[in-house]
Amino acid sequence: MSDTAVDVLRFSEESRSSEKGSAWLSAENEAFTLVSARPARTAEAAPIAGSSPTQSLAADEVPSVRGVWKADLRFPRRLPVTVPLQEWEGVVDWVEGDEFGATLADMTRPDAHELEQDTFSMEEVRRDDEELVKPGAAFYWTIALVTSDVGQRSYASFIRFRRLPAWRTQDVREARERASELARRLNLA
Amino acid sequence: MSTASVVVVGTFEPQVFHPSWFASHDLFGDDTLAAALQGLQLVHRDYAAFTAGWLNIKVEPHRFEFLTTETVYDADLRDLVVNTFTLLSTSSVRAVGLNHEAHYLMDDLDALNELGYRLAPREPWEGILNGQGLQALVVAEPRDDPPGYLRVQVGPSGRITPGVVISLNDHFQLADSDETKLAEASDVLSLLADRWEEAKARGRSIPEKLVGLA
Amino acid sequence: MLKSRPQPDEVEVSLFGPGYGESVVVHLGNDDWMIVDSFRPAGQPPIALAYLQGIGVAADRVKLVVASHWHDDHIKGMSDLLEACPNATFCCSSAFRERELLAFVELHDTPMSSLGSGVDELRRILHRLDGRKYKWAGDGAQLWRRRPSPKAVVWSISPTSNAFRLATAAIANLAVEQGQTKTRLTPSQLPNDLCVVLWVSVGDGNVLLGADMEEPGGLDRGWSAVVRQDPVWDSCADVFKVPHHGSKTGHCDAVWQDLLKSRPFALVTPYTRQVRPLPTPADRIRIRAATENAYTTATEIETTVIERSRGVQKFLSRAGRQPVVRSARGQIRLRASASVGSWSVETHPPAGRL
Repeated sequence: MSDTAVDVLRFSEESRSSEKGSAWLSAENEAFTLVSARPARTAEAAPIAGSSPTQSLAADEVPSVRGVWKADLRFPRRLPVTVPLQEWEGVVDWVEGDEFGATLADMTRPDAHELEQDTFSMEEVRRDDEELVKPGAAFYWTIALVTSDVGQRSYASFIRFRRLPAWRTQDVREARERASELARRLNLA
Repeated sequence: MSTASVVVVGTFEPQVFHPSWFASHDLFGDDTLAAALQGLQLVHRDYAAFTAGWLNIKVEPHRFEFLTTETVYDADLRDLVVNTFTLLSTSSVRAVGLNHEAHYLMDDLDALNELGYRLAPREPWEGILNGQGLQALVVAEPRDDPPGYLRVQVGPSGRITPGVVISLNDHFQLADSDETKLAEASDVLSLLADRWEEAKARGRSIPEKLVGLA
Repeated sequence: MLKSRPQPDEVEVSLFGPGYGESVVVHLGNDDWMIVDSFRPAGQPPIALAYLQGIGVAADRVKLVVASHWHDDHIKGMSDLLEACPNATFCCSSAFRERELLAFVELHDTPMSSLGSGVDELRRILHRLDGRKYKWAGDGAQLWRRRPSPKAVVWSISPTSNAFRLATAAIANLAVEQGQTKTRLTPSQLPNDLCVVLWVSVGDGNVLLGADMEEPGGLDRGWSAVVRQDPVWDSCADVFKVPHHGSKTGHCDAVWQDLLKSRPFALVTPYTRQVRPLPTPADRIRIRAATENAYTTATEIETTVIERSRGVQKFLSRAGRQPVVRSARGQIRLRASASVGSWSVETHPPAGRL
C-alpha cells in the first residue's frame, strides 16, 4: 500500500472518530446557531480516484453525468468571473491629505525590473485598510475584468493593504540571539 | 471560475477560530469581521467555518483550509495563512497543500468530448463499455524535495456547461511518513515563501495546456 | 555615461542620481578608487560598477566602499557591489556596532515586500563581511590612507560621539515601537545624524561628501556638531556633495562658511518620491545664491509609461491614473590635478547646472 493511501485512510479514520452526526447539535453547543453542518469525511465517501489529504474539498465533487447531458446547451450556465489582468505590489512613499504616493513593482511581469510610481486617492482604499496607509506600508493593486452572471463586463480596481504579523517577544529574543552571534563574528565587544 | 486554497494538515482546535480571533490579532478589519459574522456557519469544538467576502475558512481538528473563489485575492490568502501560522507557532503540522481549481467553458459539447477522448481514448474501452464518458481523471507526479506530489484531476464541470474542471493539488509532506517527527508552523511559512509563486504559475499553465488539447 | 579614465595624478568625483538613488565614485589617484553609496538602475548592475567598467577600471582597484546610511535610495545593490570588489574595505556607521541596532536589523530577516528595503540590503552586507576588511565610521576615523604621491586620505567626520549617544535612545525605541503594534510596521528610519559624512583629501584637493546629514538644531547634533569638532582638514573643501538632496533640513550656514572654499562646486541629486520633490525651487535658489558652481544630476526627470493591454490602459486613462517610470541617467564628473588643484566639470545629460 502506498504512503499516500495510508495517509488517506488515517485521515479518514481520524475524521470518523470525531464525527458526531446529528449529535453535533448537543447541549454543549447550544451557544451556537447551526446554519449548516457538513459531516466529517469517511473512507466510504472517498471519491472515485482516491484523494489527497491536502486537496481542497471542492475538488471531491464528482458532477452528476445526468446533470451534464441533460443541460440545455442553447443556454450554457455561466458564473460570475473576475479575471485579474494586471497586478502590482506597492509600497507607500508619502501620505498627504487624502492622497498617497507609492512605488510599484509589476507582478504580472516578474522579469520586469522597472519600478513605477503613481498617486492614489484614499477613496480607493478599503475602509478596513485606512489605518494601514502609512509611509512604508505594502499593498497589492489589481486591475481585473469582472463578468457578471448575466454577462455584464466591467473593469475594476482592487487595492488591498498587507497585514503582516507583528513581531512577538520570541521573534525579538531570537533576533537578539542572532545579533549576538553576528557581533561575535564581526569581533564587536 | 477558479479557486485557490491552502490546506494544512496538522492538529488544531476549531473552536478557537471564531472570526473574532482573527480580528483580535488585527488580521481582520471591522468590515471583514462584520462580513465573517454574517457568513458564520459554525464554530464548534470539532468544526469551524465561515465566509467573509472573498475568504472561506474551514477548520477541523486535523485540517485547516483557507480558500478563495476570487483569485484576485490569492496573495491576500497567502498573507492570511502566513499571519495565522505565525500566531500558531506551536502547532504541529504534517502536510500542506497548495491548490488551484478552475472551470473552463469549452466552445461546445464537441470540444468538451474531444478533450475527454484525448485524455481517455475510446479504443481501449471498445468491447468493454458502451457509450462511456470520462468522469474524472487523476494523474500525479511525485516530488522528492520536500516529499510530496503534484496531483491533477480533470473532469466535466458541474458548474458551467459545457465545461471542464481542472484541479491541482500541490501536496507537500512535511512530517516523516511514520510521523515520528512532525513539522512546525515555521515550516509552513518557509514553504509558502519558497513555493507559492511556482505553485501559482503551475495553477495557470497546466490547465491552459490541458484545455488546449481539445 | 561619461567615458575616459582619469590620469594617475588626477582626483575625480563622479555623482550619479536618477531621482531615486545616489552613488558617488571617487578616484583617489594612482588608480585607487572609492565608492560611496549605491543604487541599481532597473535590472542592471550597480551604477558605480557599470561606470568603472565603462572607463576600463577593474573592480579590484576599488579600495573602499562606504554605506553612508541604510536608506533604500543609498544602499540598493551594495551587497553585489561588495561581492564584485574583493579588495575593498567596507565601511558603515559605527552605530551598527550597537547590539540593539544589529538586533533591529536581524528582526527584518524576512523582506516585507518584493520591493525589498535598505534594511534587507544592509543585513545581507553584514552577513557577508566574514573574511573581508571592514571599518566603523565615526568622527575623526581614518578610513583609508596612501602616503606616496599624490598623498590621499579619507576620513569620516560623523557620526559624532554625541549624536551617537543621543541616537542610542532612538535605537532602543525602534524595538519597543514594534512591540506595541499588532501589525508589522515597516522599518523606521534612524536619525540622519548617524550617517557617515566623509572628508576626502587627495594632494591639495579636498572634497566633502555630505550623505544625508541634516541640521536638526542644537550645537551637539547634525552639522553643527560636525563643524564644531576638531578638524581633520587643514584647508577647506573645493567640492561639496550637498546633503539630503538639497533640502533645507540638510542646510547649515556654518558648513558653507567654515568647511567650504568660496564658491565651491556644489553637487545635488534630486529625490522624487515625495509629494514635493527635492530640491524644491526655494532650495535651488538658496544653493545657487551660495555658489554659481551648482550642478544637479538631473535637470529633468524622464517619465516613461509601460505599455499594457488595451483594456487595462483604457481603464487607467478613464480613471485618471497612469503609473510611470521616472529615471534620469545623468552624471556629474569633476576632475583636478592633485598638485594644481584646478577643477574641471563635465556633465552627461540630463545632468547640468542647478
